[in-house]
Amino acid sequence: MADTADNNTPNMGGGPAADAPAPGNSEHLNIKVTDNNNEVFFKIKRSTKLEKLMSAFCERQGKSVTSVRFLFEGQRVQPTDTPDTLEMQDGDCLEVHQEQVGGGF
Amino acid sequence: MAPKAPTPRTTRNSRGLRSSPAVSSVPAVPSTVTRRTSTRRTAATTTVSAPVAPATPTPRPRATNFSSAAPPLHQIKEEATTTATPVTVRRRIFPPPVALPPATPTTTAATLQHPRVSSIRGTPRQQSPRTPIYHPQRYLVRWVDRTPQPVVPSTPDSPGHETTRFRARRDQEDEEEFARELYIAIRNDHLMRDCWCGPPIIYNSLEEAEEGGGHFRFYTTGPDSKNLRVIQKKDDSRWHCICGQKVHPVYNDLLNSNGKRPATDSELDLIAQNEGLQTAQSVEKVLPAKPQQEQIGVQPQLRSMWDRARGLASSLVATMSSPFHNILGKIRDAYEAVETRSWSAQDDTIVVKRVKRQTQQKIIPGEQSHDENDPEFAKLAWAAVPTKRIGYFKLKEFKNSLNDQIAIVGAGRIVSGASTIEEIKAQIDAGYDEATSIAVLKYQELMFGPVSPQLPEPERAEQLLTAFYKFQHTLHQAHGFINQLYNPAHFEDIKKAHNTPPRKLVLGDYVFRKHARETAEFMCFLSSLKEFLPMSRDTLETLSNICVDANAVHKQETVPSFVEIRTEGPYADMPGYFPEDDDAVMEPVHLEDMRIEPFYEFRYPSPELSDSDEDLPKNPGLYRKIAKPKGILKPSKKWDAPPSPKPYCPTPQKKRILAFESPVSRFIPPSHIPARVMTPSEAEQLLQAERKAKILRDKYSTRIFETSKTVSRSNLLFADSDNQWSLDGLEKEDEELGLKYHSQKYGDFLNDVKEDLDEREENKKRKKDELDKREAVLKRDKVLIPAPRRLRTPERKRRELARVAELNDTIASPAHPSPYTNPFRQQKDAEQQESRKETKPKMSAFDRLFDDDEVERMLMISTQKVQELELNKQIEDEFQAALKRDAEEKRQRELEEAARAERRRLEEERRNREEERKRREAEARSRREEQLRKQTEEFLALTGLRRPNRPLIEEMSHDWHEKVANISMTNPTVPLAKTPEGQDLIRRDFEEMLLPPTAWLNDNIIIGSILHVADAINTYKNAPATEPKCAAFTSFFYPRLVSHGAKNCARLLRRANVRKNNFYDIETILVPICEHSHWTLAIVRPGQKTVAHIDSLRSGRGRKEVTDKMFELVSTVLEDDYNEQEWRAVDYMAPRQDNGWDCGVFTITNALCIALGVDPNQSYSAGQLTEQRRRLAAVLLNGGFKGDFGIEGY
Repeated sequence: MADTADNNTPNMGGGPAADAPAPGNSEHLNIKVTDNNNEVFFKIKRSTKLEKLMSAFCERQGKSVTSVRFLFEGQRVQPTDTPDTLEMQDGDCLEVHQEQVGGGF
Repeated sequence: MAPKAPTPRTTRNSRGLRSSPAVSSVPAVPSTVTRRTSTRRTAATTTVSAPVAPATPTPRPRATNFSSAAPPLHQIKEEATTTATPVTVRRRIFPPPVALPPATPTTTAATLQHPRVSSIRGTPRQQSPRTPIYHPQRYLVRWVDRTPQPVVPSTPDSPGHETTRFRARRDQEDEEEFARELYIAIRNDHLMRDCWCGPPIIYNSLEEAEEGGGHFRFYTTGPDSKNLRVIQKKDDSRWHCICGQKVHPVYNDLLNSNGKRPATDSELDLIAQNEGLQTAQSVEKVLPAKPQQEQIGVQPQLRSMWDRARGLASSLVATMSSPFHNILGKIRDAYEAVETRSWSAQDDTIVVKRVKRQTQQKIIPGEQSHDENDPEFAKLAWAAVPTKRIGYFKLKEFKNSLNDQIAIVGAGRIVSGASTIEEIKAQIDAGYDEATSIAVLKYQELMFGPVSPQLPEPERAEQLLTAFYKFQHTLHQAHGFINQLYNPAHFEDIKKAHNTPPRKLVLGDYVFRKHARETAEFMCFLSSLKEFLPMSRDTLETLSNICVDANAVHKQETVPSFVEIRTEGPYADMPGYFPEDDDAVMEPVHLEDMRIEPFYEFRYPSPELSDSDEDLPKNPGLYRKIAKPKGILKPSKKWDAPPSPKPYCPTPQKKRILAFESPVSRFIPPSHIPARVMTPSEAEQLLQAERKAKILRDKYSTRIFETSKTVSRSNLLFADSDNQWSLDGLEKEDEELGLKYHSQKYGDFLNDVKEDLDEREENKKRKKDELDKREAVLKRDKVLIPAPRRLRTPERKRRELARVAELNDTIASPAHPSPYTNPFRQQKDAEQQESRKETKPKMSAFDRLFDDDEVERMLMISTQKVQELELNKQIEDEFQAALKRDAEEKRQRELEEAARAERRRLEEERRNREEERKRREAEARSRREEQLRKQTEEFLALTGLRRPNRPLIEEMSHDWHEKVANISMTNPTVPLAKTPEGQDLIRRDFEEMLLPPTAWLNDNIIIGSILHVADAINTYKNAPATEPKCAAFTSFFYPRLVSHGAKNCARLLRRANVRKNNFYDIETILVPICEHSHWTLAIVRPGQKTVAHIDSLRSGRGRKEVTDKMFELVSTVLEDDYNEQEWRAVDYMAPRQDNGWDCGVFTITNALCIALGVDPNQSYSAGQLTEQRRRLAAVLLNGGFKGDFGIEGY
């Protein structure tokens, strides 16, 4: 799991992720981003805007930012949000949903 | 006065030449009258006007007038006889031809009948076995029927077109010979009469001839159209030409197709040189203005004009010596003066009396029936005879004197070369007539001014000749006019046409009225001669009478001689028509003081008239606007005087072409090359023309006539003036023309045919008269016979026929001899007629009127009585029949009434049933509606919803429309709005996910809108953010609720401020759901303790699994306080979505409705949602339901 996380966790926020395996109260936290098929782990700073994470995920998945919705516990994640404002903890998970569109059938 | 004409003339007359041409044929007299023709006329007229000898059986004065124009004098007399008494002396119409075998005419005709004609007709002539029916009785039956039917009964002797005589004559001679010579005879007749219409047409085939017109129709036939044939059309009474029709050739020739007269060269010169100056020549040529006789408003003005009448006769005499055209103009003014009634005065002068006219103010213009309201005019009644006022003998005497004048003028027995009356008196000897010479001299003075002895002889002779011809022409014209005017038959017609004398009476055509005017002028002229000639007062009176009458005819007024005044008292029996001293009607005016303006302006007034204001027309509206003659030149524009030295010329300069005066050289085509090859049709025409010319050339004429051109005899005679006065020359000419032979051969025949035609017309007229009389009697007796149904059962017809036959026997035949019953009897009749004619002298109408022949009168009376008795009997019969028919009709009507009542009753019942049914239906419907309403109210009460105070979806302002429309032009990456959640809305959300009418809404739009709804409600109810009245979740709430359970939604509930302690304070919780690409809305209303799911595709009803989830949510939030029994799921009613794209809009709008507490069904309809899309876009741009989109007032 850790390997996978390590492998899959890009170093974001400029912080040295490898040499600073931070405890729970550390400055960095790991966030799992998952749609129904894939899970991607990100290690980001608490103060980093999640926009970075979202665009990195979309880029990796080949999706448009406007066509996906990132939800944290059912709440829409705005690009300007940070893990602090969302009160995220290490290991929390962001769900990626498709844009909801409806007309009739 | 005039001695008898020399004997040679009399013999000429017996050849059947025309006797009095120009006098009687008023409408179509060419103005050129020759001395030569008048010589003949003189002779003829002298014979006619001589007193009828008691025993002149043969030759009786033959009616040599072939035209259907006015008959000569003696014919008029005969017509007068006819109208005066119903007893008609049947004229001899069947002189047995010389070479005719002595068989009966009908059998002869049958055997000698022309085969071709009968084959064309298809009905071979045979003796009709039917009993001939007497026509007046048939008319009577028809009258009772009251159905107007054509009065053309087929007489027994006309199975074909041709009369017996015609057929006999044709069969007697060779057919070809007959047609050819008849044609020439007719042509000669035309020639003799100076007829303008030319000889009869020669048609190219029998078919054409059948289609053509005229009594005799000629056509060519044979293998190469060499043979001339003639057919007779009995039903065409127009003789063989159209010269009887009232068409004046002068104006036809003058007028162009555009109704304008082409200008002559001299006129062009005149106008170009001397604008405004009119000489006699131009005055003579200018066309008359069209009299507007139909205008009603004319009359009042006329009356006022009459009131302003001034003196005339003095001016007439005073202007005697003026030049011709001036005089003519003044005369035309002057004669009008004498339009009043003349009356003899105490002294030698003449005082006229005229009818007082009402002033213009009393007449309402345009009102036609003022005659009845005019008490003065209502006193007028028709006189018994037209000559009652003038006096029959006085008129006769006057006409005799006119005839004398005509004779004298015709004989040329006037003094020539004299310039004064004294000279004339000095030269008078046995051969000349003094009075006529003086009259002609005065006429010359009238035309050319005083005759001065210094004038060169040729010019003076020319003047005299012109005046002489004019005088002669006018004399003839006046004679003819007087004959026509005082013709009793015409008068009877007028009386028939008008019950009472009308103010406006139009007699004759324009030409006739023109003659009336000229006659009036001439009478004025004659009366002015009283200074030079001894004239009796009777003559003067007659002159003025005729003048007044002619003037009235010209002005289209009632002729004074025709009327008399109906007055009580001493004037009732007056011979005249006006009471002597009845000031209410009459006012005496001295003749010398009369002057009356002309009613119609027939020519352009002379310039000297228009110079003085006094002489201008007083009522210009009546007058034709005096303008430049249109057909001559366009009115010249008024240019400013150009600085050119050349004077302005109104006529356009002719285009100048430089050319040699005589051609220097000219191309002459070679003679062997034809200029143009003739086409076959042209060749055929040429051939036919040649053939016709051949046909016309006969062995008796040495001259050849052209068919297309009328050869005027006068022109011919003028051509060689050497022998024009000699009798020998005339005879020679007649020989050349072949006139003599043909006139001798066919003159009688043509006369007889003409008489036949006249007689038939007369018969028709008589029958019509009788019919009218019977009708009048019926009307007088006021027998109201209803118009009967025509039941033509054989029984009825048989009865009618029997009655008719009975009547035939009853009525004595002398009055109406039927020559068609039996040929023998016919012959006998003819013999009787002959014998009677021999024994009885010919009498004029007047003589017959006062004849003492009691037998004839008794016969007449008895015939009338018998007719009246028959009439009464028939009236009685018809009356009884009508009564019976009335009764029958009444019974029928009652039956019909009963049936109708029954039908009405049934109809009533049916209608009642129908109404009852309708009423019940309406009750049921209203009950259902009431029930529905109650249910709705109950439902609304249950759900706490109400009706909105104003429509939810209103039209946005123009600005917002602009803003929404401008979205498409913004930067696609720049956020346009922010949802309450903080989510940016970019151009894509609006442009692709909201505004297109069929776009599917995405979560951004739905969530943003629903959050805005909740915010608006909370703001409106002043609820703090932590204690909301309306809470809204995002569309991601429900999936989490489903997937994670309600317990794992604590974070979302907290963010929405839904807690256990404030749960019941929240009114509405909105949960948008997106499942399977379909937006729906779940609602929790804690206050009502209800949950609901609104699906727009199901008209607002929800699904149970959604409400179950909501119950789960509620129980999770309330934990222990949740009482499952209290909570229930409800279905809200909402408009139904009927398309595949509007559910998001439905969801938002329903959320708004429920949050507001109004009923969605009554708030909006599905059709408004396209507008709602724009409105939502505007709301999102606006940042919520505030400002222009505030929710206040719902």
